[in-house]
Amino acid sequence: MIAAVPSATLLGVEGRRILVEVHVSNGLPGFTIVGLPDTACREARDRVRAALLSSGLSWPMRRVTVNLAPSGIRKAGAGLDLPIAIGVLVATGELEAASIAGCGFVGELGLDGTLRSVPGVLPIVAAVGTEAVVVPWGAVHEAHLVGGPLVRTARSLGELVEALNGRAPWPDVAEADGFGRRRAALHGAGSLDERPPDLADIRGQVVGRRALEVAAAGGHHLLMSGPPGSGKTMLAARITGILPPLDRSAVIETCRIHSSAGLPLPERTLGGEPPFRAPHHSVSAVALLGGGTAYLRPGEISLATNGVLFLDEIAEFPGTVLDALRQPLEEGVVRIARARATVTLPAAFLLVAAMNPCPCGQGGRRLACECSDAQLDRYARRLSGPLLDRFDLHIAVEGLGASELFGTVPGESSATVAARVAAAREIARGRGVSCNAAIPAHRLDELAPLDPKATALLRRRVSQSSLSARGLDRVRRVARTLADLGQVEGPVPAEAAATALELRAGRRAILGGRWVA
Amino acid sequence: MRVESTGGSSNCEEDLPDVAYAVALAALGEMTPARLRVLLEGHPAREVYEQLLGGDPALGERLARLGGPTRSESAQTALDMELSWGASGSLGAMERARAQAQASLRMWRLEAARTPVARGWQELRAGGIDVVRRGDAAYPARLLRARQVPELLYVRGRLDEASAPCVGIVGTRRATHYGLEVAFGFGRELAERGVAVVSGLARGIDAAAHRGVLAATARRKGPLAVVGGGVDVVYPRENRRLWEEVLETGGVLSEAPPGAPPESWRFPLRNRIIAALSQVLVVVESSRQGGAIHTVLAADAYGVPVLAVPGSVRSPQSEGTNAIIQEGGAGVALDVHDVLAVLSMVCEEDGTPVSFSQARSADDRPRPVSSSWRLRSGQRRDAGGPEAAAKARTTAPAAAVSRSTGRHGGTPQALELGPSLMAGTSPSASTHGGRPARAEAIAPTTPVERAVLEAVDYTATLIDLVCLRTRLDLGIVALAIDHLEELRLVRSEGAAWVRT
Repeated sequence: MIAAVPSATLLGVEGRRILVEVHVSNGLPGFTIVGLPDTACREARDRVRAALLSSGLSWPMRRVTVNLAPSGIRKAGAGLDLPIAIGVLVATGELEAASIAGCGFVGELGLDGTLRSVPGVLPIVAAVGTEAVVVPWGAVHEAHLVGGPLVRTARSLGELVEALNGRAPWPDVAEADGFGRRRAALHGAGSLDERPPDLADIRGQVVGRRALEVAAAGGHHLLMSGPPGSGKTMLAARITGILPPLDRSAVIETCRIHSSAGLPLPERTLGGEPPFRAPHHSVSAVALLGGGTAYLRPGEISLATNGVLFLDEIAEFPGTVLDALRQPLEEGVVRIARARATVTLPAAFLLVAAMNPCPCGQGGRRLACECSDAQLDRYARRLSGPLLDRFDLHIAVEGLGASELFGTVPGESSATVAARVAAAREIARGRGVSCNAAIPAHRLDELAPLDPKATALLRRRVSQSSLSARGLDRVRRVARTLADLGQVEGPVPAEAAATALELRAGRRAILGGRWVA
Repeated sequence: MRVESTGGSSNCEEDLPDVAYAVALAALGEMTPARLRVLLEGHPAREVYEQLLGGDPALGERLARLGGPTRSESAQTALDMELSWGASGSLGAMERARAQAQASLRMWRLEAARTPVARGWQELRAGGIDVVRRGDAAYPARLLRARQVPELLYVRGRLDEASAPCVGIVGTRRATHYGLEVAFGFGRELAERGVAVVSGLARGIDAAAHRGVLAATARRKGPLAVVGGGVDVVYPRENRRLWEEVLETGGVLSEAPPGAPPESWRFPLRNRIIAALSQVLVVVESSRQGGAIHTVLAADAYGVPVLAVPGSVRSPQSEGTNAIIQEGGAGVALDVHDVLAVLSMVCEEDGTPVSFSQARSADDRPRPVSSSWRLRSGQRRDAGGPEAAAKARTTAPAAAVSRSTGRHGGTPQALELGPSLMAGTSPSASTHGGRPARAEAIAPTTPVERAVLEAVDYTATLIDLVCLRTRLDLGIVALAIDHLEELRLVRSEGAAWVRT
């Protein structure tokens, strides 16, 4: 009269193992669920009953009690529908207890008995910890990524019961929706039209291209300011094409986060392309950072993990939202604390941002800009100093005039640049750091020494006080990346130092006012 | 009743100079420049101070004559009262003024008894603040023509900048790009010619004018700033660095005692000092009601010629300047030569030596006020080699004279000063002074640097464009630019570079 069915629920991007205990006893017919279910979970009662009846199974006219153990943690979502239904069937004797031994269940039930997918199948399956897991028809590819348990599926509850009873064979997982195509993507056979746009499309933009390459190679956050139409967004969209492809564990982590957010797995990411998230500037703090009441859904910054977060028109984002980015940028994770739970979500992303130089967009350009000084000052202050400090690269982007535009040859393709980036990343890894942006300040002298000319050059800037101590560290990291890209093994040469300074020239504009700097 | 028993004797030490007592009086709460003037009129400060401690009723009578503004009144009222003391009010008003004067005296008496004169004086000296009193040799003579002569001036840095020749540059705090650029250019070019520039260290035009002076290469006069609050009260805060630079190379002076907050009523008073110190006043941008208009009115009253820089008829920031030009209250300043022409006339009248250079030379690069196509053509001329440059140098003065004659036809004597100065009296500010001579001495050495320099315009040029023009790698260009900056052949302007 009692049954226990393993399953799991989602909190943040982690699954938590849940044991669904069902007790059926004599007494007044009724159905109660205990163990901190949320609203969606409590409503399982009605869905499970209807699904059972419409699948041609009987509903016991007895007292049914469901306990979700451990009772202390909050259970969210409809993913426990299926384990509850299976538990009821076992407790009433419709199913043999032996037939579900070593098997976990997850899925939502439709009133007609259909199995529906739920957010977070990937982490949930990873957390169930049984030999086999039964997942909904549309979630097979997610469950497969876990790589551990045997994945089984069925289209409906009726089909599942037949298979469990041994009266029918298990449906073939390979036939499940979208499974084959996604598995092909995972093995690098994605279709060509899904590649990111190519760098060769961009004419001119010497500094923009270089900054993009350095950002990709060294993990340096990039801020671009320039008038509308100067190509900032175009540049940003091409960064995933030059970043090194993700390895399998990174692909799985990214998929896990997408799965937890209830988003379809990005097919290009399955093929190794880093994710690219570009939230609109009306985004709320919770949507950006993660949170919410139910199961602490990961936000945009977590979705961008292992990839790029692109904030277009960064000055239009609310200041509080932007400042909340500082801690994740520093630590690579975001901690979300709510009264009931605290979760740590991954948030290791490369930040690429674009902004106009002033409200009218012309950036204080003579005869073109209509903004007053006060307006410019106010605009420059939209980004707080600490946030600006996180950007190792800050460039000014400007559209080209006709003469320059027609005189240029197409630039290098993404593939050429990506090869250099991969080589530079390899050199950085040889130094024992994940990327050059992560070189700690106290190890700069050891890992990124400067040659005498570079030292003299930077010393002059510091003594002119056009470069602060912290700025100097950042310039040195960028210069190290530039040297790595040029395959320079020894100390950083002066050329790299001078280029690194130019790659943060935008900062002079934003902090120094205009020509009266 | 005497207050000696409460420590008054220590307040009156024998070895303190009289000005120390004036300073102590000025530092009392709710003391305004006008009140100080009335109190000190014809009396040594020490005597007044002792009268105050002794509760002498004569002081009350003197103060009541003033009518007495307080800080709570609006800036405009305060100014009116400051400038029109002695104007008889109604009987009721006199009674109120008397009562107010008595209240202030009672308060001051207690305050004076608490604070020793010597300590205040020492603190002032320790803070590096000089005090100049009316009648001192260092007191700027031109200030004596002010409607109400400031009794005390507090000075940090140098005051000798206040001697002739001296031009005031004022304008709105909410300046446009155009106004800032013009103010910057005027400040720089005047300073390079040996003219002192006085302004108010406020936001906008004032700050741009000071920055222009600081940016001048062959600078012979530092910037001079007259501020509204105390000379040790940095306002606005964003100008902190500018303030320090002004202190380093020039002077900051104020009528307000150290520590005085920059209250709004002090600024119109400050403006009258700027007007009185200037021999020519240039208004760059001002709205119709702006503070700069106060300065213009004061200048008008003191007989200081006013020049205004015309602006767009649609720009609210130019409404005031355009209006005073239209009403005939001001001449038109199109460039620095207009200012210099008037200045030389004023010096002539004053009998002060014309110790500045009016020279125009071929090396006068078109400044940012000009439109960009002129800048480009200037660049090409330079590219033509030394012969072309020399040719340009010989033709330019003639062109300059004809242009000036066109506009200032009635002042031939002013024009003749130019060539004579170029010949002798002012060797450092001739064609060989300043930037151009150095540009000839220090030239880029490598072909790469020459190419990079050629690719930088006289207007802001992004390094992107330099790379495209030279077809050189970013690293090489960056290194070359850095070296050119060290040689001061280029300078950064925001994110971009400008050829100097």
